Amino acid sequence: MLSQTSLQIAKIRPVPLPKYASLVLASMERAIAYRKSTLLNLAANAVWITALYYFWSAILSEYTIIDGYDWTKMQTYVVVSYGVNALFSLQFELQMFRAIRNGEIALDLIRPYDYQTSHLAKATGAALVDGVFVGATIASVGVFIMDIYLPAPGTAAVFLVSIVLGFLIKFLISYITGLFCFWTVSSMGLVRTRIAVTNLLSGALIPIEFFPSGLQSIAEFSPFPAAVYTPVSIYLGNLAGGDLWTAIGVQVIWVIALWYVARLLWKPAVRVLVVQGG
Amino acid sequence: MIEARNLTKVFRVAAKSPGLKGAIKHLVRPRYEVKPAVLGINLHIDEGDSVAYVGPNGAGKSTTVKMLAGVLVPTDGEIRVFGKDPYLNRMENSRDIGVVFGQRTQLWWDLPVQESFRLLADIYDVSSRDFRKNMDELIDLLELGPLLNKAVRHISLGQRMRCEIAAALLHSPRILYLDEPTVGLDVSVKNRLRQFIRQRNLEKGVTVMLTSHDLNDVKDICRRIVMIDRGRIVFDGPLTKIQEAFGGERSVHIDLSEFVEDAVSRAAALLKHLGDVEVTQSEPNRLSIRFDASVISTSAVVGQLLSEFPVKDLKIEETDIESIIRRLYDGELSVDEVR
Repeated sequence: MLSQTSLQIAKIRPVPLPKYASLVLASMERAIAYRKSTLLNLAANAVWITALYYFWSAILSEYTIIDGYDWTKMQTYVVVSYGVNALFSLQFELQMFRAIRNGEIALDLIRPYDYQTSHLAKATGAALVDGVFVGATIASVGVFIMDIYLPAPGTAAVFLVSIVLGFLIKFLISYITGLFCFWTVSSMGLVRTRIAVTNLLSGALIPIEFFPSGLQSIAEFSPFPAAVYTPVSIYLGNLAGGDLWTAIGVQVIWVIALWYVARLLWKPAVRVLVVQGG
Repeated sequence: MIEARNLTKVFRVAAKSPGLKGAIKHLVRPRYEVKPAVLGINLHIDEGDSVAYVGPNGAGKSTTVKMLAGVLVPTDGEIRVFGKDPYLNRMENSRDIGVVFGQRTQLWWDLPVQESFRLLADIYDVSSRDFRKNMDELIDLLELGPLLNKAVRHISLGQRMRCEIAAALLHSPRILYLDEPTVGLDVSVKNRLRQFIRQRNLEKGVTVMLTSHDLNDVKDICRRIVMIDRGRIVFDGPLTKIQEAFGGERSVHIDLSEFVEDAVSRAAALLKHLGDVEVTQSEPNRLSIRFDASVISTSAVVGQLLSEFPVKDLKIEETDIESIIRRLYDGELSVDEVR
């Protein structure tokens, strides 16, 4: 005899969801369960944005305009680049690194899913929640407290597409860094370097126009600007017509290229896996 | 169905001398040494079998299970599970197996238990009908009802293990690997889980492979025992065979009502004419006499002891499987005697 209560308690979907969609949902739920840490992140974001705000306000009160950036445009850059950057939390790499280090990865390897796609699904779930939280806060701070401008409706649509592509690129850069954790148990240095390089070269800290020319060309040939700088430039209206579509095309190419680089690295990485403990 | 031939796994580990000096030395010139975990194991497990895979810590048990489950690549040798290489066909193989690692959780820590179940059902494409059927059965047998809506981090270890086992069985796998499933659980939870796993094996024909340090797990769940030591199989056979080989052994324990000088040597001299006996003194006034009951009659031993010693209390004990295995572990008994 089956107990009646169990039938009522176990909520069952009429049709099973595709596995990756289900992972996105579970990961969103988890991100919501972590809302305290999300709120703390927001507080940290506020501090960071305030610091950047005063930094640029001091510089631009002296020069009024640098490389085409006046005070309003600069504020917009700071807020939008921060918002785009915050879509993807650092937690991701740390979790991947921890799972490899403590052997939890074994539990991913006994599932009938692709490791890379399952990680993308989890990162997407978290980004959707963070996107709403962080995006809403930053947008309201930007519009009501600071003086940022809004993009034209057509540009806004392209901007959204570009954000999604930027998110994929950032995910893949992190994921590839994470794969290198298979080879070393001391991966914190690796992750920190990755974060520093990404923050600088993606344009999350300062616009790439401000770089010295050498660094600018290094950035141009790397995938980093496509993660943050491209969507922000679209928002600012810096890219128009043919340039706009070229920028999107470059983003698409980076997504495809990095996706397959990650695929190539996966096989040798998992071969050297040592599942620690137990 | 599970077939392993010459299965070998060798890890490369950093050879660091201790301390800061060793760490710096390793930084400058890293040296590695190979650490063999599993050395040329041959294993054949039929569908519906229940196998205990036992051995001291570091013997290579978990490494073997992880290779069979497709998590680790063997350094050498070959594995076939339902005819497929579990590592090369990881995704396909994962549908046939359920795994419980006693020290890890496959449930999502911050979500209610049933969210994890639902996610797993989606991951394994379990149809709603099967999911409902399995879920109801598991809820009933493992008494999961009150736990379903609780976050995993809010339930006890014993409650979690019940959920873990349910999670491993949701997609009706044909093989269940259990890597130390009862570690850290209290006796009543252990008994409940053992009973459940045994029932799954007998009634549903789920093949069970279990590693454990708790020999009651072995005794209550498995019919076959594979013993491994330093990466090699030292015994592989039915549990009953061990019992037959050593089961004739008896121990007689006597408590003396007063102190007797040289009690051990006196008892040994007294019983010597009966045959091979082993006399030990565990406490000042307690003697234990061990002998083979198929050669020496128990009543003769007891009769002699009663006539010579001031006996207050007396207990006769059959050697159970647990103590046999423990002594095999400790090298006190040799597996050659079993063969």
